[in-house]
Amino acid sequence: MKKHAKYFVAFSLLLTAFSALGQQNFTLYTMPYVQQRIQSNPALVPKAKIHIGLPLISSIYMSYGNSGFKYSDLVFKGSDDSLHLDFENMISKLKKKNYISGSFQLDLLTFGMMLKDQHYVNLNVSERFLGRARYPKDFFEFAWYGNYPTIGETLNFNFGLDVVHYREFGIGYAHVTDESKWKIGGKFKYINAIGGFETEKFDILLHTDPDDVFTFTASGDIEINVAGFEEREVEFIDDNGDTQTDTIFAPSFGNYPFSFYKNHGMGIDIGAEYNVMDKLHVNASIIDMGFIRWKDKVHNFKSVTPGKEFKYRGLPLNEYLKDGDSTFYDGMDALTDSLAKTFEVAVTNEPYTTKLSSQYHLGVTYDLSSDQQVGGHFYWHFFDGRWFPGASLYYDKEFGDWCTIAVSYTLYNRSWSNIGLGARINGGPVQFYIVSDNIIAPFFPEDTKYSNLRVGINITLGNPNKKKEKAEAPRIE
Amino acid sequence: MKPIPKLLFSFLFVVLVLGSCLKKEIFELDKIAKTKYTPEVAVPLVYTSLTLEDVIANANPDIIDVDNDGFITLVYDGRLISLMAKDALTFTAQSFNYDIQPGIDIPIGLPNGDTVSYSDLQTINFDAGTGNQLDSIVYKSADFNITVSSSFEADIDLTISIPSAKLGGSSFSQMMNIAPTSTESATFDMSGYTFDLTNGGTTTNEFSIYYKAVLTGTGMPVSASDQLSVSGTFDNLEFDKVFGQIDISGMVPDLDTVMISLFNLATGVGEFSLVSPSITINITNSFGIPIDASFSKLEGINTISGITHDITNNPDVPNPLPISSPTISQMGQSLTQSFTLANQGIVDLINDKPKFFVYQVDANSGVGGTGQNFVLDTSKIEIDTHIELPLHGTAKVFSMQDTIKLQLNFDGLEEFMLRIRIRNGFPIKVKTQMYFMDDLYNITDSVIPDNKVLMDEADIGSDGKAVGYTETILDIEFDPAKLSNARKAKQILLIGEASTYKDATENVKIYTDYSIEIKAGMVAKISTDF
Repeated sequence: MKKHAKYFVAFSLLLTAFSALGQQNFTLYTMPYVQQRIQSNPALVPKAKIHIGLPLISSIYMSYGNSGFKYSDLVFKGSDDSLHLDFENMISKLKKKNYISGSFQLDLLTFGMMLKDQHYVNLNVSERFLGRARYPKDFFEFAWYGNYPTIGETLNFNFGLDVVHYREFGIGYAHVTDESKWKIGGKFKYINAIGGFETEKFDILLHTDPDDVFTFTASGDIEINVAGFEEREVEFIDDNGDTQTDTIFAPSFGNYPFSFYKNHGMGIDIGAEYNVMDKLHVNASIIDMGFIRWKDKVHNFKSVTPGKEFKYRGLPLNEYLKDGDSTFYDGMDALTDSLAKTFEVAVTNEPYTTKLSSQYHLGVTYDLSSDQQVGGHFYWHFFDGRWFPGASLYYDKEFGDWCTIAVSYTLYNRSWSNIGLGARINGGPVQFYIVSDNIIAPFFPEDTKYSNLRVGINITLGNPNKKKEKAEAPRIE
Repeated sequence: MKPIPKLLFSFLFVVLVLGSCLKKEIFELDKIAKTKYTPEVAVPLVYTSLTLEDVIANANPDIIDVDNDGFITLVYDGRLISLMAKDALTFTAQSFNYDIQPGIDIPIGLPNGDTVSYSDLQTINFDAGTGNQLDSIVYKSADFNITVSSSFEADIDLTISIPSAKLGGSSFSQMMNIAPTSTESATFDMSGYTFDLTNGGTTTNEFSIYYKAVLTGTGMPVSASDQLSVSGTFDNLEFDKVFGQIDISGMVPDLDTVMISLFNLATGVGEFSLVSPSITINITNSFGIPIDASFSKLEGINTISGITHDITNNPDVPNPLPISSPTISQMGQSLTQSFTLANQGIVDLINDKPKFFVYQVDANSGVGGTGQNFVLDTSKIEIDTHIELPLHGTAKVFSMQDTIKLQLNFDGLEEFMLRIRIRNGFPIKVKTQMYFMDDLYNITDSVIPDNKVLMDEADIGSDGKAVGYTETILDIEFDPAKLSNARKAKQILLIGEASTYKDATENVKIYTDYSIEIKAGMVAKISTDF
């Protein structure tokens, strides 16, 4: 059993390390020298006139989050040097619905250029992998405490999994002038999606009736869409050492990463910044408004009788009393058949559409000086019928034109202990940057509910500060 | 690079790259200690909802009779006596001999080629058994075996005829050829022959055989000591019909006992009273013989209580028994007479649940009867009992008791509560108790708290029929102490008692639409490590 506990914790770790639908860039939002912040607001153009994102290494982004519990909520070290599991504490941290989320983005190519000091055009090709698993508190309470403490209540084991893997081809434009207080920008994205898994519905309800001698009532309403999966025959060695074949349902991405898929989509980013005063700026954006139409290797799993109730009152003695030939196994077979019918799903192959997980940003920045800024940033995204908000305070300082350091404090994912740090350094045109919204996480992963990391190398040309310095240098007459 | 950014950058690098590589003890999963798992689960265990109709549908339909209102009567059809003619009336082989001697019967010396004939009649007495004076008999099957031995030096043609034995209007006649000084045998099938045993209407149990012998000389002398010996047997006699005066009184069993299997079901029943039970006796007869019979003994015996109820002289029991016999014109028919016993003596008898009937029949038949009597091979007489027990009354079962060897295993259970809910539509109350016992049959604990009623009775209306149902919920707590006793128990003693409405003081009626719903569930606190 101890082995099972280990597996459970390992699984929890895996989930925790699982990379969130939507990207969070709280600290990056305040780093104007880094071109990648345009991914959060297309109006926030970088300071360099030209930037080139080197293939594969210009931006590697990963994030994870667990809105429910921290590893340390579950595992603690006892006085005897052993590790102990504290499920009661872990469950007490959970909300009705909890999410483990992760994302990964690899920019294959990015490019941006300022034209005539007011037209900023940019493009990108990015590989994005976004996922989120939903787990209900009801299930863990049921599993740990049993059903008796919640007797009379209807428990919903509404697990969910939403995963999307796609390639984004984006072209953006921003209009910036010194004369206007407004900066506006937008980006259009064509999406070629590789695979996806969408849980449209997954309501497994269980009720234990205290007034009817604990009769179980269960019902299921399931609707799941999957793309990029197909049935494949696989060989395996059985217990006798013989080679057998079996059919499994597995991902099938063809000649990845060189294939082009029939799953097409589009997305739009829009953003703006308004200079309220010389030193006070307000900005806002909406990222990833769009959809994906899934057509490639699509499977739809849908309940045949959604919401149909199945009641289990105990072993049906009637069968034995009425029919002397009935056996216990006949009773169990009948029970299994009824249960299977209740949760029976039909499989179809109809194309389906998923929305992109849109993100909303609202920020305010105040220039303490020409090289220091403070600001605040609000973030939301909408998923699973609810809003997921975040908020951040930040400060950044530029050390000449070659270095920027930013620090932030973020509230996100029901987590209150996120100290972020970002750094950018330019050695000539080569720009290296590294940013995280939770710098504590590597030291205290067990206490982390949310963290991310973005790192990359860009080529930047046309540093405006140099130009400015040149312009401001005293003339020798 | 300026010192502050350099420091910060280094810090950031360390934090993000190296920090993630730190190995912490809290992630050393091999150090996870066992965790105690103690969920409380409530589960339904068993469920059944049955009407009495459901139950009896699986029972023997021959013993249940339901009227249009669904009222139930238990019935039992048993047989006291069954007497088949082919078993009761049998005939032994009939043998005879006859000799022809030359010195007396034919001239001595017979030239070659000359013939001489001789004829004679032999009367045969048919042994029909004691008391039987038969006029005729029709054989279903019979063999006539005859052997003729000749010491004559002559060829002999011997014709054997039975004028009173006829088949299709023709008398039986067969000829045998016997060579000089030889023996010949023959068997003749007499199936279907009708034998007139009156010898011309003058007597009974008698018929004649006619012999005619024709001797042809061979030139050899016929001596005075030569003779022709005839030896015959009628055997394998099975009759089809027998006419005359036939006495079957000796064939009726004298004293016999039959089991009433219906009351096997009532083993262990304490008090039992039905308002209107009855016994109907049906007598079916196809013997063409007047039968004068009566019960000289008729008793019901409860072997458990040892009580005997003698109803021999009960006024409802007729003496003699009404037995009708078919006349010649009714030959082949069975005639039935019935009488029903339903008075208080019978009620007392039934309510004592007799497992056996003991009876003795005195019977006279055929003697002094007028007209021609007959018996067919299919004739029989049967005396059947039909017991009707309308389920209207009271019943009380005391102390049904059983001991079960059982080792209970409650591994992983810390404590539990068993809930039994019974919705009872029967006007019957059940109480039960279960005791744990050790190896020495010492009771160590009981299960049902305060000897509570397991199943309370439904109320009845003025007509004795149950109205609605009564719900009983029984919670049986197995706290750690009781659970410990249960684990140690080697035997379980089950004791139960049941009674109809108000402790069996009011009569109730049982209908097929009575129902019972039983549900059992359990709340258990599990304790295990993983």
